[in-house]
Amino acid sequence: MNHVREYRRAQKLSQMALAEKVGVARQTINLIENDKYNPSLDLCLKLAWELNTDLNTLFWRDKKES
Amino acid sequence: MKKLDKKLIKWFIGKNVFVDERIQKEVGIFATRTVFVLFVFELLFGFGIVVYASNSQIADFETLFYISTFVQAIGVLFLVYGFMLIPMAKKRLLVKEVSPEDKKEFVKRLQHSWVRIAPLEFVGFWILHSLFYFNEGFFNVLFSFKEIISALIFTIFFTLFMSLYEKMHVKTIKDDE
Repeated sequence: MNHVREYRRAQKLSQMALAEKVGVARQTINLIENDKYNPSLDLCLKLAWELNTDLNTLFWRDKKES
Repeated sequence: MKKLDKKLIKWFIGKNVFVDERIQKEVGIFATRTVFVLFVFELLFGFGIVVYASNSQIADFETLFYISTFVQAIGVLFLVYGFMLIPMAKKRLLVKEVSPEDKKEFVKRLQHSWVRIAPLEFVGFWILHSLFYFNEGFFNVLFSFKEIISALIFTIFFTLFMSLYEKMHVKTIKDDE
């Protein structure tokens, strides 16, 4: 599971607000948070910038988890 | 993705849908599948018609032509619906989300947009429908009272249907859902 939801909540952002910031639909953010959609690298970077973190923190998972 | 491609997707799935990378990807998958199925359908159908026409004694080729073009048109329509639009609707790709406070205004704008293009629908239907009877004199048919009334009825029903259909696909945002 990625950490997009935790970081979004920590920033007090709704899914809609984050979606508008990164230029996607709200449903896309919801699917990413639930690990049902693999975002492009470009979108991952945008998410990391908007949530003031880096790709590793947001998306990294160990081999056992995947 | 080119602007033209985005416009094409919007034209196909509805102008109110937000086209982001996920939508593009899903549309791409469904479109590839549909193209493949259409190719197989056209190939088999065309081959079947050729075999049938060359091996059986057909007296009326005109009827065969009408039937085969009709089956083709219906087949293409069903395949596009079955392999593209229904799976897209199932994945909720055709849903437009708006905030509760904006919903009323958005639906109003949606209905106005259909009313704005109603004259175009009227003219389009009027000319196309008259073309069907052009052997009876195109302009005589075009300016007949019956033709104008049928175009008017079509425009009213189509506008109502499309505004209701698009209204149905407008959902209120529920975070984390």
